[in-house]
Amino acid sequence: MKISVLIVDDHPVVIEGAAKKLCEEPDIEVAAAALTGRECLAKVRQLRVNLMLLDINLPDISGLDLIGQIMAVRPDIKIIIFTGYELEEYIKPCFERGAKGFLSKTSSFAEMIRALRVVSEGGVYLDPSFDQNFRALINGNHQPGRRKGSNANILTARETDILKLIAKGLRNHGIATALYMSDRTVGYHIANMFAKLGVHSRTEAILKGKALGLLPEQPVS
Amino acid sequence: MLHRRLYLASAMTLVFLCLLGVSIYGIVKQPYAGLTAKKKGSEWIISKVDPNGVGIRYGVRPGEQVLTVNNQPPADFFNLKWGELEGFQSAEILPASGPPQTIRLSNEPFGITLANNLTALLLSTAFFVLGLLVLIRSRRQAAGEIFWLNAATAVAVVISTLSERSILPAALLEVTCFGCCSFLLVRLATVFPVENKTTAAKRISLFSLVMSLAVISFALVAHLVQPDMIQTLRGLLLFNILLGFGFSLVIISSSLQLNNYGFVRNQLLLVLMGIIIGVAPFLVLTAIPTIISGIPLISSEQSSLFIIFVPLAIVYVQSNTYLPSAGYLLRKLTINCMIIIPEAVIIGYLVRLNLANRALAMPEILIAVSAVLLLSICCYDKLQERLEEIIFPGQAFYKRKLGQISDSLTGISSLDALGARLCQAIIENMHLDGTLFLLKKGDHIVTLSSAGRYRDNPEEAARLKQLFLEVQRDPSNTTLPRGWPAAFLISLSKGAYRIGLFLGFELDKAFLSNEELSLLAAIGKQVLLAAENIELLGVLEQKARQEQEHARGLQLLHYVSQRKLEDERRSIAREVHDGPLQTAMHVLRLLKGRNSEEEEKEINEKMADLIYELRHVCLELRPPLLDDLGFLPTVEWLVKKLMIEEDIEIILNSKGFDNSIRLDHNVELAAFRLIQEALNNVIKHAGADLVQVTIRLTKNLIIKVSDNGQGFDASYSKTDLLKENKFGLVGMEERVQQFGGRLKISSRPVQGTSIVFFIPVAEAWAEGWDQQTS
Repeated sequence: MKISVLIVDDHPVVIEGAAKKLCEEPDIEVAAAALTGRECLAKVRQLRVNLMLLDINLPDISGLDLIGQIMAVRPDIKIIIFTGYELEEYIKPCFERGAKGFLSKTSSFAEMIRALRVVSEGGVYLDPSFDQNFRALINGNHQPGRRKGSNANILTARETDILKLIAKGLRNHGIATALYMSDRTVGYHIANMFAKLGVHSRTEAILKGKALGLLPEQPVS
Repeated sequence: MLHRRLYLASAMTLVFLCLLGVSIYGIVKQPYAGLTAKKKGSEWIISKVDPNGVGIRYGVRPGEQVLTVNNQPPADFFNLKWGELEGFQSAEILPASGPPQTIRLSNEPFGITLANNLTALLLSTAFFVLGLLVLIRSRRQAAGEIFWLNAATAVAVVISTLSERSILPAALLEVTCFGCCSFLLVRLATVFPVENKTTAAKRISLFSLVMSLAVISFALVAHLVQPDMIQTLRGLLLFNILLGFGFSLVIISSSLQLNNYGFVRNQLLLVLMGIIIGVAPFLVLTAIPTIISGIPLISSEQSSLFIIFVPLAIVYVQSNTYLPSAGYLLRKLTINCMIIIPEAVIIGYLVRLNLANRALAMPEILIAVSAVLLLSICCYDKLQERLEEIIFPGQAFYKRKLGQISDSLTGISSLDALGARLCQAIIENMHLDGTLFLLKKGDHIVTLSSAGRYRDNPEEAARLKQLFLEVQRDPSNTTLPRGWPAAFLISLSKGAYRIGLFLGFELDKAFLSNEELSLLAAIGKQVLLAAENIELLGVLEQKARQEQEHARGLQLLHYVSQRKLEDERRSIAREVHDGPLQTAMHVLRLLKGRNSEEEEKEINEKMADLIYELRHVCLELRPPLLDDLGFLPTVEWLVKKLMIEEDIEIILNSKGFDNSIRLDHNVELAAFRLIQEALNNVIKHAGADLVQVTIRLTKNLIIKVSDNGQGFDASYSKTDLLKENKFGLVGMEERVQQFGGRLKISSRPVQGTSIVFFIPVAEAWAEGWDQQTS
C-alpha cells in the first residue's frame, strides 16, 4: 500500500517542491495539499490519507493546535511536523500532542523521504540537525537542563578558540569576524560546545573552561 | 531695669507704710473736731461744723463764739491761723443762748475712730497696692507713670486724715501730692493706653504741669505768709484736680479719634469709662456743689470712694491687652443699673416705711422685699433682654458684624488663610480677647490659626488644642469651665472635617449672648463648607495636573515609540543588509559561474547562513513561540538565548504558572516585551553579571527582574528620566499602565536595580475572552 500524504503549508513554493519530489517515489503519493488550517481539517475529514507533512506557521490556526484537532478526528493519522523553525522548544510540545516526526525545512529531499518511510512504518523521526538527546525526550524520560557527558577532550580546536574569545568578552558577531566565520557557524559551534561542557551560559562555560584547564586562570588581556 | 523698679517699689512701700502708720497714730491720738472758725473783728466765730467731726456731738453749732482755747485767747492758738479749730485739749464756746460751755476733746473708742477713717485708709492702701502691682508685674512702658500716679494719690489720701486734723506739715504735703496727681494723670493719659504725643497733647501736659506747680507754690506761699488763704487754696486745688481729669479725658478722646484698631479702642474706652465713673459722683455730688455753694451734697469721703474705679480701670487695661468691648460693658452696665436701681429704690422705700412711719409690720415688709427680689431674680434675664432690645435696638449691629465676618470668608483658596481671616475678623468685629481656630481632618489637625491673646501665648493655644482633640461630642457649643484659657468652644463636624473655634478669655463669658453664639456657630458651618470646597478644589487641581502630566507622558511616549520604531527599522535594515543580502548576492555570484564541487559546497554553506540570518531577523522581530507556545516557554527561550549570546547569568523562577497556562495574547505580548526590555536594559546599562527573573501568577501577573549591577537613582521623576533619554523605563511604565497595572523600581547606586511589574490578569482574561467570543 502506498503512503498517501497530505501536505499542509501556507507557502505554495514549499508544497510544489515537495510534491514534485515525492511523486517520483514509487511508494508515495501526494493525496492533497492545504494552505490553511481549516482547509487541512476539511481534507483530513474527506480523504483517507495516512500521513501528513504539517507546517507550524499557518495563517489561521497554529500548527501545534492543529495536531490536537486532527488527532481528535483521525487518531490514526501520522503527522510529521515540517517547519522552518529550528527551535528545540517546539520539539517536545509537538510530540506531546501526537506528532510522530519533526523535520526541518532545510533538510534535503532524501531526508524527507527517509522521514516519511520511518514514520509510516510506525517509527518516530527527528531531524538529525537537532541534538539527538531529544530522542530520549520523545521516548518520555528526558530531563531538561542536564546533558550527558561534559568531556573537554572532545572539544574541537575551533570550539576551544571560540571559548577563549568568549572569555575575552567578545560577542558572537565579533567572534565570527575574528575567526572569519559566519555568525551561524559561530552559533553552531557555541551550541555544540555548551552541550559538550554541559553548560547553559557563557559565564558557566568560562568557569568550566578554567576548571578544565582550557583557559588560563587569569583573564586574557 | 527690673532691679531699679524693685528698689523703687520697696523704698516707696516703706515711705507709704510709715505715712500710714503715722496717720493711724494721728487718728487715734487726736480726735477730729471738724470745727472751722473765722475772725470777725476781734472775735472768733465758728463758721462750719463738719457733721463727721466730734465737735457737732458736743452741741457746737455755726455762729457760736470761741472764747478761749486751752485756757488762752483764741488768737494765740496756732491752728486758728488756718481757720481750723483742731488739736486743742479744751475750748470755751459761747452758744447763741445760755452760758458758755467748755468742751474737752477726748478720744473716742479706737474702733469707732478707725471706722470713721476707714474709707480714707482703705482707699489709699488700694491705690498704692494697685500701683505697686503694676510696677512689679507689668513690663509695659506706662507702668512707671501708673505707679507714680497711684503712689501720689495714695499718699495724698492717707495724709488728708492728718491734714484735716491740722497736723502740720500734713496739709502742705497733701496739697503737693494732690497737685502732682493732676499733672501725673494728664501725663499718664499721653502715654497710656497708647502713646499720644501730638502737639496738642504735649501742650496740655505742659499746661497741666505749670498749673500744678503754680498751685503747689501758691500753697507754699500761703502756708508761710497768708494762712487765711487756705480756703481759697482748697478750692484752687480742687479746681486743678478737676482740670487734670478734664485734660486727661480730652487727651484720651483725641487718642480715640486717632486709633481705629479694635483692641486699642477698647482699652481707651475702658480707661475713659473708668475715669468717668470714678470722677462723676465726686464731681456732681461734691466738687461742683462745693465750688458753687461751699456745701457738698455728699461728703467727699463718700463720693471720692468711686475714684477707686480710675486706678482699677487703668490697672485692668494695663494687665489685659485684649479686652471685652467697652461698648458691651457700658451696655450691660446700663441695663443692669436700670434694673437694679429701681429695685433698690423700691426696697429702700419699703424699709423706710417700716423704719419711719411703722406703716407696715416687719413680716409684711419681709414678704414684700422677698417678693420683689424673687420676681427680679426670676425675670432678670428676660427683663435684661427686653430692656436691651428697647434701649439698644443696635442688636442688629452685631448681626451686621457677624455678616461682615461671614463676608470676609469668601474667595479664600487655602485653609490656612481661611483660619487666619476668620480669627482676625472675629477679633476685630466682636472685640473678643482672643480666638483660636482649629480644623481637623480625620485625626490630623490641618489648620491652626489664632488671633489676639492665643497668638501671643502658645502655651494656652497648646492647651486648647489638646482640649479640642479630646472633645468627642458634636455639635456642641460649650461654655468652658473656669481655669480654661478660653470662654467658649464651638465644635462642629461635617464628613471628615471637624472644626473647633475657641472664643474669648474668661471675662468674655459675660459679653456673648446665646444668640451671638449661635450666629457664630452658623459661621462655623460656613467655614466647614468653605474648607470642603477648598479641598475639593485642591483635588480637582491635582487631578487636572495629573491629567496634564499623563497627557504629556503620552505625548512623550508617542515620541519615544516613534523614535524606537525608527531605530528598530534602521537596525533591521542594517541587519538584513549586512547579513542575508550580502550572503544572497554572494550565492548568486557563485551560481552564475560554472560550479566546482568545492563551490557547490560553499553555496550550500552560504544558503544555510542565509537562512540562519533571515531566521534571526524574524525571531528578533517577533518570536513565533509566543503565539504557538505561550508566555513562559518564550521567556525560557529568551533567557537561554541571552545566556548563550551575552555574558550574563539569568536565573528564571516561576510560581503558579506552567506551560499550559495561556493568558490574553495582548498581556502575554506585553509581559514578554517588558521582560525583554528589562533584560536588555540590564545588559546594556547595568553592568551586571547576574539577573534574577521571577514570574508569579496570582490575581496579578507579577514579574520581578532584579540585577546585581551598578543601579541608579530611582528617585528620579518621569520627566527627569526622559530628560536623560532613559526612555526605556518610561516606555515600560506606560505599557504597564495600559493594562491597569503598575511598575515599581527600587534602585540605589551600587546596589543593583529591581523592577517589579504588576499586571492585573483577571480583567485581561475577561477582555481576551470577550474578544475571542465576539
